[in-house]
Amino acid sequence: MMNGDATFVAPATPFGHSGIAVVRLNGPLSKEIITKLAKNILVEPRTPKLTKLYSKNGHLIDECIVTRFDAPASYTGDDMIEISCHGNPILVENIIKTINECGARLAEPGEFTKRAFINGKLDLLQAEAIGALIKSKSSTAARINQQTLNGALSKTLKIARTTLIDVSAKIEHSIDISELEILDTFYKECASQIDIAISLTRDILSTFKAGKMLNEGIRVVITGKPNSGKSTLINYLSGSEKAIVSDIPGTTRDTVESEILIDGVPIRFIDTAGIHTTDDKIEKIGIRKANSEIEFADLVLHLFDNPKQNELPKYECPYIYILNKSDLHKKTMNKNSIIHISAKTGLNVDYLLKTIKKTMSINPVSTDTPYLISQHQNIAMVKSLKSQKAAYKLLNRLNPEMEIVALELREAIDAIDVLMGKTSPDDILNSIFSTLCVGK
Amino acid sequence: MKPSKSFTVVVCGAGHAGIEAALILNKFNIKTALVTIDPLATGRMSCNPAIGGLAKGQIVKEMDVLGGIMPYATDISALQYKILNRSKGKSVWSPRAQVDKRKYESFVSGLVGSSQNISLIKGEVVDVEVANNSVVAVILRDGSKIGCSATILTCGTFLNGLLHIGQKKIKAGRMGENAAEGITESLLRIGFRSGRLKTGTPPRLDAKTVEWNSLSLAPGDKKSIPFSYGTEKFNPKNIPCHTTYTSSLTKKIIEQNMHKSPMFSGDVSGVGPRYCPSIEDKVHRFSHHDKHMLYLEPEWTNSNQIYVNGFSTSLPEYVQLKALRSIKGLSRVKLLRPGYAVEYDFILPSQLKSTLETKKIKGLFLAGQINGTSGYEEAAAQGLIAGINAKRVVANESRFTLKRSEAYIGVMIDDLITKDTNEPYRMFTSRAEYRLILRFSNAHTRLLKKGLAIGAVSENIASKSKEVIACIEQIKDKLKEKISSSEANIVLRQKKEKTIEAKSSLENILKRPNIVISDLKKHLNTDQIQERVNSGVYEEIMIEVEALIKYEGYIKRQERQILKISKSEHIRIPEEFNYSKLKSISNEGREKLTNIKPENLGQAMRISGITPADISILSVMLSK
Repeated sequence: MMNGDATFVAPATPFGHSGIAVVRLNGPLSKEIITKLAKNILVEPRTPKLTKLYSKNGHLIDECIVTRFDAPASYTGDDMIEISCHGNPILVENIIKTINECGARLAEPGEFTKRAFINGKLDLLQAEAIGALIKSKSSTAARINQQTLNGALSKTLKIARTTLIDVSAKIEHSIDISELEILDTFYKECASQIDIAISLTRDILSTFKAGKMLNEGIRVVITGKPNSGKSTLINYLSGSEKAIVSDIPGTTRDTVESEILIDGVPIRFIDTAGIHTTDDKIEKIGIRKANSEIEFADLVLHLFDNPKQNELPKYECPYIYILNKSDLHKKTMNKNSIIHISAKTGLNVDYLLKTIKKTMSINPVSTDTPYLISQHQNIAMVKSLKSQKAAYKLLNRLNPEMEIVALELREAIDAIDVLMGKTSPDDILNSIFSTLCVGK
Repeated sequence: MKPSKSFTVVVCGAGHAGIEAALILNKFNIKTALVTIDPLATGRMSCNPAIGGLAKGQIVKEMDVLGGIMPYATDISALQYKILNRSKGKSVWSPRAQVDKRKYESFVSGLVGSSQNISLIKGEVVDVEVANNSVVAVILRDGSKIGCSATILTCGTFLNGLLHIGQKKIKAGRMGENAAEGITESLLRIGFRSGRLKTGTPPRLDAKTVEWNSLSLAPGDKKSIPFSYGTEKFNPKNIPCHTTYTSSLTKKIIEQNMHKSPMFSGDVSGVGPRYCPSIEDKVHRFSHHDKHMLYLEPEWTNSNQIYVNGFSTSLPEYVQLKALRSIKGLSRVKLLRPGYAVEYDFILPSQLKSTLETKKIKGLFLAGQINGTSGYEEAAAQGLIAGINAKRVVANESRFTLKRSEAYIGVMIDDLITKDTNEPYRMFTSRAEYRLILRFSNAHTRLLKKGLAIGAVSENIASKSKEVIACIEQIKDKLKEKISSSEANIVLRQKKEKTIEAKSSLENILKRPNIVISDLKKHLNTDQIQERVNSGVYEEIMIEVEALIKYEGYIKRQERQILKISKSEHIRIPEEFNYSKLKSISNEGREKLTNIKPENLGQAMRISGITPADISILSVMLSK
């Protein structure tokens, strides 16, 4: 009985018009339901078949490619059907509605991955990596997530964990079995071993920022008065990166977004056109919080075109001042912190991109290094590092209490175990699964 | 056949587990039969003449406030006291006493004899009779039957016991005492699984043949701490032990004769303890060590019989003698008794509930070495818990259990039932994840409530525990008071600690690494407390207060952890839970879970061989 109790369905591709869309159906009733929709035409397992699917009252919905996976040889380990239909939201909705009527409910967020996890197809780290893989924005990020899937992150962690367990064992031995007095050299020996674990942990942690950048990208918000050249800059940036860039219509009429890749890191430029036009009072206040775009920005580019301007706004996140239309000014401002560009001619835009790279510490990343992806992984490692450091510090004190050192080490190991899904309480599990998008 | 006699509970075996069980049942006014092969061996200490030690000392302390007799009996017969692990932190300090074996034995067996509800019966239990999955009687070797509602098996090393001395094999439970045959087979028939373990004991020396002047002295502590709050007039003795070292010649002799040890010739199938290796094991495994320390311990007051701690062996007697005579101070030594190894059956303890009742048979309890443990203390504590719960099964009351976060006894039982030991199990502090909280010095205060709930703790011990709690509070209050910087600096300078500018609370001064509580004695008005308790308990109070202050942050941290982890302890797994539903977990994991049937998710997490992924899946399934 590999299947769970419930049969559920969800679109596996985002809503919207596209070439094809995929709908997934999972659970004990999958076979029965698809046979109903195909008007009793049987689909063989693991053989994609062009199949006409019909609604309950017999109308043709679409001609689709249907692939059947039987438990346990499927992504989830359950019986599973993948339907590739034409990428029209109305068709997708019709298919799902019909499947619903046949007894399958809508999937909960991350339920497919949860089933895969329950069926032992994935470990916890792998499950998280899949979530990130779906969301990953560039091929570099995709490669790295693929690697976490293969357990590279678990491997590095295991080395740190083994080192810590080794020291713990030594210390426990000194407490529980050895009748000898503890020598100073013993403290030093333990401390230097912990030091190794500390640097391993630091290495892993330093990948978090880079991993996050790769997966989530960097939000660069462009501010400035109207006509300071914000749109021109965005257009220029998009144009120069045409091969890999597409303009995405903004969610609000006034915000235009554009995305480019720098060293594999997706950088999203957000034009806040119109936001700052009316309220001059706010401009005079040093720190801006009012604007939600700025609040979530990783970097702000503030554009202005008047070389005589004295007061420039400050932001909580990193920011760069840009004096635009440098082709029109005769004079330049003598401040190193201000970059002079011409968004129209592209003058100095290369330098601007370099400065963005430098400010955000974007470096070419090696795809061989495993990356921490989620905040929950990061928190666990920070906690482990804290305990390791505490143990190290204690060992450098006079007559350290060894059971306290042992306690710190135990907590350091426990934190790693949580990350590896070892004693992961239910709420962590649930939060991991619920951050994955529906259909995966 | 109808039983010839009937008792409410039958305890089989009168060792440390059996005695604790019988005595606590006596306190509950439960009619108890204590069946033993040799009534004269009641309460015998078959191995070392000491009670307590690393982590074991904590267990003995805990027993005092739970109604056990071992702590008091130890105080009655103590030859010296010593706190072990003094160079480590206070939470792993462990009390130990050398004891007069004869005095211990005679005190305890006297107590059994004078107990109104205990009938001491000479006989050998060979079978357990079960009806409707409940114990109804035990059958003795002579064919007689004793009816009962519950039975506690405490068979020690006697189940199919086999002694080894060199190539010589003797069927026995202890030297000169017959083995017990039949119970293992009876339990196997019911469907229990058993295993085989091995332990050993060192030779005993004739005191008159030891050159005492050439040995080093190993006295006890100057300030002794009693195990029991029931010990009124505490005038501890301090009779020293002696130490010596094996020589390179000893090593050579053992190496040359290694093949004659049944351990190495393959004659012994039982698994021995790694933590208490025989001398041949030590020579073999630690060949880079040229010498090993030995303790010569008197077995009773003015004893002519000396126990050689650290020289457990099953080499032939003449090799033992030759090796011993290569040791400083023992060149002309004579043996009163050779060392030997003993193999015996045990029942895999994962078949028990945390009450020590078997999961399979109602009213059948196992305690002590039959569960794979080693040591008087471990056995006694199990006997106590089994006794308490046998009464509760009979009276149909809620069961008594201890959590891992409450007592070393709780840690031990949880380990046994979830991990199925594969070597004789002894307690270590590192087995307790909350050891900062499980101090010897807070055993009474920490377990008083639990003890009172049992309803068998003496009035005396209960009121003394309350007194100690009050004393600790009083000192803690006092420690909150501030003293001037000049007064503080006198103390700080003496201990080479940084001096201070402003007033400071005594508590903050005590938190400095080099400051101990006795440095502040002048400011604490402890005279009044010294009047309220005896000198030993006073000493313990001071240790406890210091630990409370110095470890404050860490204690709070552990308390938070306990709170967090208790969540999984509260997720109960239904007894009839169908593990075959969990297709995706490892076969090993499913098999173990099916066999062990953990009572809650916390227990399941600790079962060896259960992977983290198994637990994740189980928890997801349970939350459905």
